[in-house]
Amino acid sequence: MMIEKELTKISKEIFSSMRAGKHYSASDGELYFLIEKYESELSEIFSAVGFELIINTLGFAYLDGHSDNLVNKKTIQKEAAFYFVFVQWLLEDGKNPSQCIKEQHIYSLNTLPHLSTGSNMDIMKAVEITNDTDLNSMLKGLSKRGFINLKSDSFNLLAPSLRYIDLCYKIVSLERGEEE
Amino acid sequence: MKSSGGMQSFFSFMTKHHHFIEDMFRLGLKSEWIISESELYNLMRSHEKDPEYNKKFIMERLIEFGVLSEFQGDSYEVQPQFSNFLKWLLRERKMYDHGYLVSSIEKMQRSQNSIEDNHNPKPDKRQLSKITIRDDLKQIIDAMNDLSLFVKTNRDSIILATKTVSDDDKYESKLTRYLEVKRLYDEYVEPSKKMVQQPFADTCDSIIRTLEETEIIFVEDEYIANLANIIRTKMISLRQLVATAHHDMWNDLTIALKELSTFVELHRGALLGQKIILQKGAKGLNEIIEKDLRIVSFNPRNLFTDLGLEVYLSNLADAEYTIPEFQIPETNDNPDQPIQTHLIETDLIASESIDDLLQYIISENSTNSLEQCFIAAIEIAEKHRNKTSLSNNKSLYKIEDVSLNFNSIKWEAEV
Repeated sequence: MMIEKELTKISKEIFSSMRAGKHYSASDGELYFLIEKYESELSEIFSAVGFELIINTLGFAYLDGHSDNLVNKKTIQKEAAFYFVFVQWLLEDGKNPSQCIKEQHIYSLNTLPHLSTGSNMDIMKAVEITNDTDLNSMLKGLSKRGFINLKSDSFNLLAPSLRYIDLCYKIVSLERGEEE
Repeated sequence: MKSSGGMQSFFSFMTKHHHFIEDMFRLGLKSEWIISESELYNLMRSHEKDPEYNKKFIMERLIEFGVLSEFQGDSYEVQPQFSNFLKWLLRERKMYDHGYLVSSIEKMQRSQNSIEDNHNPKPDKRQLSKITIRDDLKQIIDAMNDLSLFVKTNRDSIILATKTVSDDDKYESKLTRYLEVKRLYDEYVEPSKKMVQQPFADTCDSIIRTLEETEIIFVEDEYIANLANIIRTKMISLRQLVATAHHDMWNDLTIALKELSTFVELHRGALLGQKIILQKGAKGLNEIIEKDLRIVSFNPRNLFTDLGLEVYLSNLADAEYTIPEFQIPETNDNPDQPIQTHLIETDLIASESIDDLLQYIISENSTNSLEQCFIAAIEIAEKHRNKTSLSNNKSLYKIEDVSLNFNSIKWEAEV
């Protein structure tokens, strides 16, 4: 493979963050489009150092962890709990989460449902999120890794959030499989 | 409705004769609510399987209850109060279930059987047979008209229902709409599709064959020939209507159902996810995370480091690059003791600079394998990034039979 300077630069620039779970999407500007442009070359490079580059057709890219020791399950559990509550809240308010991502709806941190009702608090408590500080810390993690765009008092969902939305569908099909 | 019959008596009568009443209602719909006596008696004839069926009694009761009133001597008028009530009742139902469709097809079959029964009349009964056949052909046309009405109404109602937007965007409204669309699908489209299409097609083909025979047997009767032609023409359009209507309904409903079920499933998935957490704790999600959500996030080691990538990129840029002679495993399963990097670090910090870190580690740990030395070098380089740099020069490292071609790492304590 002929290596271009631009490709070397992108690889170095994105590898550290992707290895830490960063998902790139259109909100990352040109960098994401360069990842798409050099998909096959980057796939080969990252594969040589132990990762699989995934470019989802819904508009985001990430590294897949083959083995368990590459995945921090505790972080994912927290984030999954956040999305389960958030998705329910959106749907019950008549909002389509996928549409909200596309239209970049903005949500105020003060109106989040996670710590506002007893049942939601129980769920969040199970993943060790018991107060606003814990919640904000988790949101910062999501923002750092490209799932949301976090501002001082609000955020909007980004395309990689579709991974967690897809998780909801997968849980349903898993349950259906168990029933059958 | 006159009070003499009493409410209980009225409802009892309606319950017993509801099929006839509904047929009469449809007949009234088509004839501006004026129905001739002969039409009413013909209608009763199709319901008179019951030996206790008494036409005269029914007529008297219909008049007594104020459902019908005499009109110009030989006809009856369906009273507006009753027709309006039935209109309301039937509009509430909106749809004709597959029983209606099947009953129309059965009516066509009954008339067809009656026609065939009259195919071999005695000479003195030939005229009577012709009259009976004409009437049966009209019955077939009526049944086809009814079927056409049912199918069109169902199609329009279903398409309307699937395109109706909820009063608001709330989840409950969407769920209600989902349940309504699913009910329409389960109760009307799917069974009707199965029951109507094949029996209907078979009946149509069979009737066409009977018509051909009838026309040959009664070749002199132009009226029969005309009716047969009308049936054939109507049958073509009706078959087309049945096929396209069911396709339209099925299409619209499946699209609506898919759209709404996606919404409902997502809600269900979110709730199930919460249930798992509440019932099994956060670890209850591990199975599905391992399967479907492997988001990497870890402390880098060995090949997975930035340095590992840099070496690979550097090698890619080098045309002479060859694949290293051995692969560094993701996990260290070497039974030998790994190199104690913290001891090397102490020595390194004390020294000013070392041109080749890996070579230094090899010389200090000659009993360890090349693989272990390499891992130690990478670990130190990652830990002390400000003190190490990767050179562009490659060196060949060798311990016993194992060798590695790798960019040298320089250690500079003062960097």
